[in-house]
Amino acid sequence: MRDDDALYTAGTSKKLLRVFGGTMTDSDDVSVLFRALAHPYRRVVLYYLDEHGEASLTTLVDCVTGWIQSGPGSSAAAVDHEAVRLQLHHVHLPTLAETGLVTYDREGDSVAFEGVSSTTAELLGDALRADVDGGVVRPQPATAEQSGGTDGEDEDA
Amino acid sequence: MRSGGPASEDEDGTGDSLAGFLDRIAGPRKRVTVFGPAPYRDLEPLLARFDVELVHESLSVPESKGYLTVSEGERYLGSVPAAAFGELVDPARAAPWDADTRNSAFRDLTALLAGTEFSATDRRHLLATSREFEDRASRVGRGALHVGFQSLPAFRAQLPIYGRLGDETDLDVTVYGDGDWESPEGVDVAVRTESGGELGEFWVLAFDGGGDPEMACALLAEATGPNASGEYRGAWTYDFETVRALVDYLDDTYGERNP
Repeated sequence: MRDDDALYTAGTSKKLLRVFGGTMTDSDDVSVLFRALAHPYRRVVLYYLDEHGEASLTTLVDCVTGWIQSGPGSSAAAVDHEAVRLQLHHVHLPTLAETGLVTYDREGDSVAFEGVSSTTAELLGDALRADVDGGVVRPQPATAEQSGGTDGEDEDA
Repeated sequence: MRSGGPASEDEDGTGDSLAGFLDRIAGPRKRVTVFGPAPYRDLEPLLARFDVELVHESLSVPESKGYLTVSEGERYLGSVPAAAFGELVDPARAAPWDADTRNSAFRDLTALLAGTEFSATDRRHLLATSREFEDRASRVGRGALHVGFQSLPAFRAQLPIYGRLGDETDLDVTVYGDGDWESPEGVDVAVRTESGGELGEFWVLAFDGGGDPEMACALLAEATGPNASGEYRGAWTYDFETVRALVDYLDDTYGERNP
C-alpha cells in the first residue's frame, strides 16, 4: 500500500512514460493495461469507466461491492463496502492513475477515464468477457498426467 | 437488518395510534441502483411502488449477471443479483411454513427496504410481504403474532393459514378486525375487534421475535383508496423497540387489559 501511495504521489501519465522508458509503444500499452487488470476491483472500475467516462468514488465503490457480492464476481467470500472504499481510495485508484488510464481527483471525489488505445481496448473487452463467463473461457491448467512429457523447465523445477 | 434506529427510543408517545406508528416506521429515502445492460422492465414497476431514488447504471454484462445495490445516504445496505429479479417480481406466495418456497432474494430485498414507504395498488403486494413475516414467526415458532384484517371476509380468506400457525406452533396468534365478529370455532387464535375505528383502515402485522430481538418485525399499511380498492401506503420495520412498542400499544388499546 505504501508503495502504491508513493507511486500515486509521483503519478501522472508523464511519470508513466518515464517508467516505461520514454516513448509509449504498443507493447508498453499492453504492459500498462495488464498491470491495471491484475486486480478484480481495478477491472470493474475500468469496465464502468469505459462506459461512463467518469464516476464518483461512491458510485465505483457501490459498483465494485455489488459486482463481488451479487454480480459476475459473485463469490462466497464476504466483501465489505467500507473495505472496498478504502482499497479503491488508497490502492487501486492511485495505481490506475499511475498507469495513466484514469485520473483521480481526491478532493473532487471524481475519477475520469483517459481512454485506451485500440489494442488495449480489445484486451479490456476480453477481460470483461472472461470475468463475466467465469472459469469457462480459462484454459485448464495441465495436470501431470495430462501433460505427460513435460518440458525441461518443469522438470528442472 | 434494522431500521428505525435510536431515534425511535426517544419518541415514546408519538406512536399512540396506528397512524403514529406508521410515521415512526417510515424512514429516510433510500437509493436503489440497478447495474446492468439496460433497465429491467419487469423490476422497475415493483421498485416504483417504493419511495426510493431509482438509478440505472449501464454496465456491459449479460442481463442475467446484473445486480442492484441499496444505499441510504452514504450508507451501503446490500445487493441483490439480477438472477433473482424474477423472484422479486413474482414472489412465491405459498404458505408461510413451506420454507422451500420462500426465496432468499425476496427476503433480502424485503430486509433492504425496511423503513421505506411504499404504495400498493393491490392487496397481493402486501400479501407477499406478510407471508415473509409470517414465515419468520413460523420459523421461530413461539412469541406473539398480531395480525389485523380490517374485515371479517379478509380474515376468513386467510383462516387456514392462521389456524395452522396457531395450532402447530407455540405462537400466540391474535387477530384484529373492524366490526363485531368472534373467533371462528376450532381455531386457536384470539380475536380483538372494534367498530368504525383505525382497525378498519390499517393492515397490521407484528411479530415480537419470540424472545429473539433480531427476529422481530412489523408491517403497517393504511388503506388510502375507496373501500376494498386495495390501495395502501405503508412501511415495515425490523427495529425491536419499535415492534415492541407497537405490540404494547395493541395490547393496551385492544387487549383484555383495556376495560
